[in-house]
Amino acid sequence: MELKFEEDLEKAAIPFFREKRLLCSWRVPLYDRVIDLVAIDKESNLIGIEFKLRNWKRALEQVRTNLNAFDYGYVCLPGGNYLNRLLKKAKQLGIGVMIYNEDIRTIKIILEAQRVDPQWIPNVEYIKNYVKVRGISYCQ
Amino acid sequence: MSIENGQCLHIVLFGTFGENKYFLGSYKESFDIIGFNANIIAHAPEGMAAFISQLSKKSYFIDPQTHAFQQPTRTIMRKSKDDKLVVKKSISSLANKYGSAIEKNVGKNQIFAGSLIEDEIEEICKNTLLFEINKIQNSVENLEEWEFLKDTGIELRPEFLVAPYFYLEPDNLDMDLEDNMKFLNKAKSIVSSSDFPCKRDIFAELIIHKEVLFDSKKISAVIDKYKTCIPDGFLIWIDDFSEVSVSEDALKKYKNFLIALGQYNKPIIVMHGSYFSIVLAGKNLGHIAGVGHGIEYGEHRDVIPVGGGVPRAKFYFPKFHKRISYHPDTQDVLLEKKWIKDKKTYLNHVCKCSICQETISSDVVSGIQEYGKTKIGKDGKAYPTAKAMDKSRRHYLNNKIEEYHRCSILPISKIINELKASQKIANEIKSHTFNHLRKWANVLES
Repeated sequence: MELKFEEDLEKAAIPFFREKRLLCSWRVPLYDRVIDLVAIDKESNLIGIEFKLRNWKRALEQVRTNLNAFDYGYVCLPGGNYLNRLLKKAKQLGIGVMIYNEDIRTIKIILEAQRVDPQWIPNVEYIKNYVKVRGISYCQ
Repeated sequence: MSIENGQCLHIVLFGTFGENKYFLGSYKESFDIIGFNANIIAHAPEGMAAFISQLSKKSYFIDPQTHAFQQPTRTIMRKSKDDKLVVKKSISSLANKYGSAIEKNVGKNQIFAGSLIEDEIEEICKNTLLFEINKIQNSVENLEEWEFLKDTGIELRPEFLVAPYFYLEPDNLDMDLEDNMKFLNKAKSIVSSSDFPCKRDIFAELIIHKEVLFDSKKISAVIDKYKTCIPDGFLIWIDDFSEVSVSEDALKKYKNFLIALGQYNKPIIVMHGSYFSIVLAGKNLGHIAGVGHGIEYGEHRDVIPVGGGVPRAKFYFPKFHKRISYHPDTQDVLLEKKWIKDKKTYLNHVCKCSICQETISSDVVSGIQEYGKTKIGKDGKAYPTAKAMDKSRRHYLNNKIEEYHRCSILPISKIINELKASQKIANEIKSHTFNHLRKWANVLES
């Protein structure tokens, strides 16, 4: 799939999340921001994921902004020559990195996120409640 | 009321009618002067008169906002229901008051310094000053309240008048200054004439582009210009000059400018300033008379409105003298410093104002959450709730009142030491930078 828009990357990532058996909810508002994807794993960990086609710094900033509402935060981007810089900065921030390989059309986690500690509990509760009320299902 | 440098006057700028309660309630006694924009008075004179009458003897002034007509016309226009560009109602009302030279051009042509003939300068001057001195008084006489007020002898006229002015831009500075001097000279002669309703001091308002401030020749030219006609006071507004964001060099230039302007021994009021300016207004330094701000905003302001946007919940950190976003900055700083451990820790390290005392319970996080609650609007965007805005405004005002009070009594050495101590604490914080504290301390010490 040729990636023209951020939505193309999101669509391309769906099989990966489905395979991982993650419960997903797209576009979750938190204060004046909207989180691209909120996922819940088998251990009930709350994961926030931001998608970007190019601007990796902006992607990291968006995840960092909402990080205290999650157990883990990830950015998801296509590969590029920025990878080393992205990994270095992401590691400092404790943010995980998922890379979409356009040739083999798969997502791979190349840097595991560190568990967020401490969290802002009202934000965590808000997200959990929001996705519960709205409904959450396996990624589609 | 006499206005002098070193008085540390607390000046609050009125924004919208929604803020009335903060001016009329328990804060009223803590504010020394209230500043109003002329356009809001032109647009709703009786409403404003009724409001000002409730402030009883509180001093006020009106910014005539003549620079609005100098800006690109698009900045004073709005889109009408049928998608046409029309002049904003309040600006149009103001243009009607200031006479034909402005009225015929509003929304069509920018009025530049150098383009006005002498008669037009006189007309603008006279109309502006009459508007400032009479508008509220005449409007209150139409209200029912006048029955009660007229016997008290109270007159609702401003504390001082502000001469019309142009915004001082780097590319047209000579002309801007030349016409500002004409306005000032004319204003002085109009007010001293026997047919003017009553005597008042005339202040010169200097709205200055940052490039002018940073250019030593240009800023000297501005200061020197007033040798030929010294106003009774100065209102200063540096366009988009955020004291918490600018460089140390910029702060030095700002301080030096105020000191140099002080050669005229006239009161200087900074229209939009933060704690740094408040310190400059304290009796120790005495460089300026007072500092203005809005109700939880307006410590710096752009001359050209950048247009609303979604208001974000913010929280004022008294220790750092800065408003930062509620999410994530305030939350992250509190988490990182563990200042939410218990109520005592919060009150000791963050804030012990009356609103925090009442809002923060043993569950500190739930209490703090009261300052940042948002609700999703019809447009799908998150807005701070009315309760959250009210709490954070009161928390802000409580701390501002404390800042003015402390700066008016504390020795400068103690203030600088406090800034250094706060910087030390801030240095340990990774999630947000507060480097302005170090810059402020350095510049205040120099």
